[in-house]
Amino acid sequence: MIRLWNSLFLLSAWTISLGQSGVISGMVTDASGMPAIGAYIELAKTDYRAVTDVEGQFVIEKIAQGDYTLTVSYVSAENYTQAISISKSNPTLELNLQLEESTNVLGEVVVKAQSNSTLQELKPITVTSIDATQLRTQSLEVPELMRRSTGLLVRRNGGAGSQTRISLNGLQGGAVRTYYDGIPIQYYGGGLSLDILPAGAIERIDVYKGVMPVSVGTDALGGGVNIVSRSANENITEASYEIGSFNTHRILGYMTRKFGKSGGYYGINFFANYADNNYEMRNIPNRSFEEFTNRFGQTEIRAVEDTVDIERFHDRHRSGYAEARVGWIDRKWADVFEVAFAGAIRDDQTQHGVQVTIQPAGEATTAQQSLTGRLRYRKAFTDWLDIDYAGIASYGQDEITDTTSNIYDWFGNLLPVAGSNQGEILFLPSDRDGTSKSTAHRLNIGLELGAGLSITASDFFAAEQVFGDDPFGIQLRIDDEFVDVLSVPANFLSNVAGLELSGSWLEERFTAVAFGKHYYLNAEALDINSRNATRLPVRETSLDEVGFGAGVRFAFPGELIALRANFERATRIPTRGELFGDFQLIRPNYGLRPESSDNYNLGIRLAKEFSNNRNFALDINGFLRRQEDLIRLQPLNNEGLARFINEDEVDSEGFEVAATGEILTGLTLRGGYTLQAVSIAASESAADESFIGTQVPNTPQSFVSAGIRYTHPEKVGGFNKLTIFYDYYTVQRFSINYVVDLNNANPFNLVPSQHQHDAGISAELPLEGLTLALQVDNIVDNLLFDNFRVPKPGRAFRLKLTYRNF
Amino acid sequence: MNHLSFKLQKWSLLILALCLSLFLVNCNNGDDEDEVPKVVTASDFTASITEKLEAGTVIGNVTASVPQGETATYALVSSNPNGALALSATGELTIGDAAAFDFDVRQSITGTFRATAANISDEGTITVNLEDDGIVAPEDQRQTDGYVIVTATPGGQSYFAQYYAEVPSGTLDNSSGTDFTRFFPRDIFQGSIYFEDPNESNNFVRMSVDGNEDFVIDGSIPFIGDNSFAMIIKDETTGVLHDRNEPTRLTIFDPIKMSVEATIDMSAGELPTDTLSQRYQNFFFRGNEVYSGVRPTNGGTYSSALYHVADVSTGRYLRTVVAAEESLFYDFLLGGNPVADDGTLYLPLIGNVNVLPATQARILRILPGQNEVDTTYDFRPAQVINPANVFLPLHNQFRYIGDKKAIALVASSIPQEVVDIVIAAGGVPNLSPDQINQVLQILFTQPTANWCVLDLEAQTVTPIPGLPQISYFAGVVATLDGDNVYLPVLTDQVNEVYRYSISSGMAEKAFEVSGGGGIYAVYSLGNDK
Repeated sequence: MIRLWNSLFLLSAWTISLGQSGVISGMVTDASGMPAIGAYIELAKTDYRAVTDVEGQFVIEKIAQGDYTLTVSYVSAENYTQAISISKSNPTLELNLQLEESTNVLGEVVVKAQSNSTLQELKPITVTSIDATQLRTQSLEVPELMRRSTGLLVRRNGGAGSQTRISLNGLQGGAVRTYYDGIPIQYYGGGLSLDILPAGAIERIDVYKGVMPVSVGTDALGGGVNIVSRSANENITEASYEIGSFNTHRILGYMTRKFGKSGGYYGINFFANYADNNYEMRNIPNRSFEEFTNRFGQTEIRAVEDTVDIERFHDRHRSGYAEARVGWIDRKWADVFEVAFAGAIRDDQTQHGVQVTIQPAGEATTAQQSLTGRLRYRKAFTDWLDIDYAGIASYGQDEITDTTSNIYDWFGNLLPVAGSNQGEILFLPSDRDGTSKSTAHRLNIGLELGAGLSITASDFFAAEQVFGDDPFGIQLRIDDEFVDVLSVPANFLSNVAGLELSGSWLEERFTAVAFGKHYYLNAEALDINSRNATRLPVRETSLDEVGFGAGVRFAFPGELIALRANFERATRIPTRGELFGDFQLIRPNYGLRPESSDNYNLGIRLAKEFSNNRNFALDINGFLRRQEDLIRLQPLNNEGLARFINEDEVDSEGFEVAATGEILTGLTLRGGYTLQAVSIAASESAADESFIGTQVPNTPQSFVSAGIRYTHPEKVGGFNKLTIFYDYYTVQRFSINYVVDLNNANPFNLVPSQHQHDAGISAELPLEGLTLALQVDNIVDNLLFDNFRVPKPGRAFRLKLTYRNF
Repeated sequence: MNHLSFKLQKWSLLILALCLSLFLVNCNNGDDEDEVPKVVTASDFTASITEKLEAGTVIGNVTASVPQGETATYALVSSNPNGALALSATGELTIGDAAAFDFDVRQSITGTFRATAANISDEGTITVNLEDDGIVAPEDQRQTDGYVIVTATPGGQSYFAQYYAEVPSGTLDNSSGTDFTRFFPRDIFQGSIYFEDPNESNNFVRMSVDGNEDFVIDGSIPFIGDNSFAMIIKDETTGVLHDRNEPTRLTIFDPIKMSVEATIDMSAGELPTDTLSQRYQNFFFRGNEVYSGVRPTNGGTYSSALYHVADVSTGRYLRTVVAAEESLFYDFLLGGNPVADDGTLYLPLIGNVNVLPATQARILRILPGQNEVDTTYDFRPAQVINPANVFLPLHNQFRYIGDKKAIALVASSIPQEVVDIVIAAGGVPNLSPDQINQVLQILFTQPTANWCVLDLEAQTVTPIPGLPQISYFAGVVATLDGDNVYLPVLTDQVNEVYRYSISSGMAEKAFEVSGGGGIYAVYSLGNDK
């Protein structure tokens, strides 16, 4: 049954440049009152159509006068139909529709559920969206979700909670920004990171490739990943518990409630992770000791080495996150207003450094805590002015403890010889307490100019201060007194302003965007290189850069085929750590220049919907990129000292093919293939010249992600719904250092081709709201590695019980 | 009962038959009892053959003595390894499994056979001794001569090493060499390179080049702490290295077995008062005495440069030699033990640019029969070649080439940009910290150093004619090869190697590098001391 809150509401203000054509606009909500994101609105038998945005809003413009049948279709809702009329006297309609929950195929339509993706596909900027809503009952972490996107390579150091590195179209490290609800994740104080986020805590992941829209982009070289948290404007109670191999436990609680009739809501959610990560590693070099009689007749001990299979013994991960929020929607004073407070805590044992060596760590640990407060405000003041603000303030603390003289073997035994140096991971011992205070603010102002044109102005401002102490750290001698370099605060301030002009014509089949960005950075920190100083040698650095870009999208009538092309001159300003180092082993480089990159992207999309919710979509995207002043870490000597430098010019070209479809009701297939050549392009020295054309180290040339998923629509053996799935990932071999021909590569530096097969089953139990999911990772127990040949877990099991009530 | 009577009957028949046959044998042999053997006797078989012959090759014939008129038939009873031998009924022994006939795996193959004649059998042994064919499988071969040429990516992320039987001429593409993440040889001995494991383990290893021209690790010494990067080999049984985990102990190792043989307690060695910990940075030998340069564990320098001296034949610490009461770095050596024929020992100290004004590099000496530094001798090559060079008065890559001469890379000129900065500042003492950093940045990158011949006796410095200047920090390595010294020249424009002849005093371009990065070094595997 359909409820029409305000039907056929006349809006007189919207008359700019419309001539004789009409406009239908409005908002669609689902049965629970939540904005229906990605609902499909169509005037039957015409090309007038639209898709609702993240607020459930839609607009169809330039409608010729006449009588039409308006249809609305939306995942898990009954189709809605209504007769409407556009006439000279009534050219404008505003509809606020609430859809009724579908009685038959609740939550079945996977592809359509990637609602924001559908919406974003209407834009000229390349974005793919990974929907988390359908996968919540599976036991997945966010990095595992990310692997489902083409072009995005996710590499982890080990088991649960291990460091996650993202590589997007061949770009890695700081060149790819990660955002949480539109704010770069580093401003969350360190307690929140990709490593610990469960899929159940998020709504979706948007992956921007090549070009970043002004409304999202801070500085990023070749794209970014935005993790969108779940909306609280619904009545949901959800709890889950997961148990897995390697003593892994995860709990998640999620509760949101609407209150009153004022559009108010509140919510609390929390999650916690625990894992011992004691998985087996094979062929690891191990050291033991033996007694011998030396050539002078005395008894001594000496080290001997052999190769063993072991279980990791010092890699425990613990983390927790809790958040409370309250907000209102659709008030006179705000379309969206939300305040959230969160606390995060984690601690990790550290088993080894970047690579697995003969010497494991048995005592080194790290810990982080953070508190954050967030504010979101959005208001469309008129039909042509929209203001969207998001801000965060955070306080974080981190500890690094690496001071022991004890030495362990790979079986976790304490060896009979003490280390002369303290510290297991670093060359120098560290007992570091750091504090960071940061705040970040983003303001987007949208202006509708009429004639299909709009302007978005955006500003992102962030400020960060870090300080701390380390009794083992570098001491600077100033006026004959020693000063801990960490005790002097380092300040980092950045601002990115952008202006975007976009237009939409031919019933949104032709869209175009052009934008410019201005990047500013000001930073100051103690100069640890200074000598003979008599006062604190604070060093200040400022950078000023501009960037620009443009894009177009054209869809043939019927939206079966759409073409997209875009370009950006992108800039990435150096991070605090790149400029100032870590005040320990990474030395500062105050002369570091920003990285810049020219990105060209071209894409074609074929999408077709069939009866019974069946559908198919094929995306082919190609990219070309010229990167200059690449920032990379350069070793300064053999003893671990390094600094960041600008060096290479890198050319990248590649393409990716992604296909998704529900070919039979309930049976969904997805597959993605990425081929990329990321190679050295130019050199300034005779020594470099010979590497022109060589693949950049640690960058695989191709990888594949594929999956099949089947949900049985009817009861099976007492279960209300049964879903089975299988996922496959493969990464081609690559070298961790420069090599011209992989066939000649030193096996010690070669990460072999890897194949991962995961499968699982989830079932809705007869008890209402309960879902049980079983997943097996790496079913065939293949050897898997991260990018520095650190072995990853073998076959692993996970069992998850979820309770949902809404 | 019937059953029992049948058995008795069978036994009776058998005994009767036996008696009959004995009777018949006795009747036949009755005429000449001593000439005819009454039994079969197999002869033990022994032969020697060359290893690695084909299957079916005849090794020999086993034999047995049999009753006259009888012919023996032969059968193989056992073979070790199983299947290695084959034996025909006529006694021809051949190779069964050819793979078993490998001298490197076993030196003999054994077995047993049975000879049967006239229903009588006897067993004999087979012993086939294998002879070494003198042919070694390529993977078991080791190159004792030839060259390993190493090029590196800028910044030293990858090193490409490739074996060449001869030093190439013309243009060399080294990019198909084996890639290592580091490659810092410390000594070359009997065709093997000794250094910290280029494949990232913490061990010191011995690396050789096999018959396929592949690199193989022939031994490894695990460390407890980090290694000190320094080691030196004296002879076939003795080398010295240092495990930083034992700051006050020197390790004696066997360079062939690659095993730790003893440690020497050096705790009696003197250290400056500002000392917290020590490690040994470089070594050289004068007879059985090993001189060990001391520096702080985590880098940097002491306020003075000093050597701890030990005797490797007794395993005892001997004395401390204070070379200079200033903060100086020791040069890493690669072969070229800096001891003259008359016993004069040269101490190469490469200066220190980490303090300002920089400490000048110098070469000191200990005269024959003396244990203390000769205070009348203080050779400062960078000062000799350019007295105005106050910023970078350094040299490195000191290689003793005999006859009291050495090769070194000497910082020699000052770029005009630096002069301009100093004039603008109003003299060196007035340079601001920023200007000092600016000056150092220029000196770090610009080619201002020459490969030079140092006359250690006359204390003169002569740039080798025809070689372009390179940066003092170019990170290249000079290597010795008999009468030749290979000198890499690497700048933004030039990537090549020169060959300097010690006897003629002339240098010529050996080859240019076109692939595999910048030239790093040409290591001669045959360059034993």
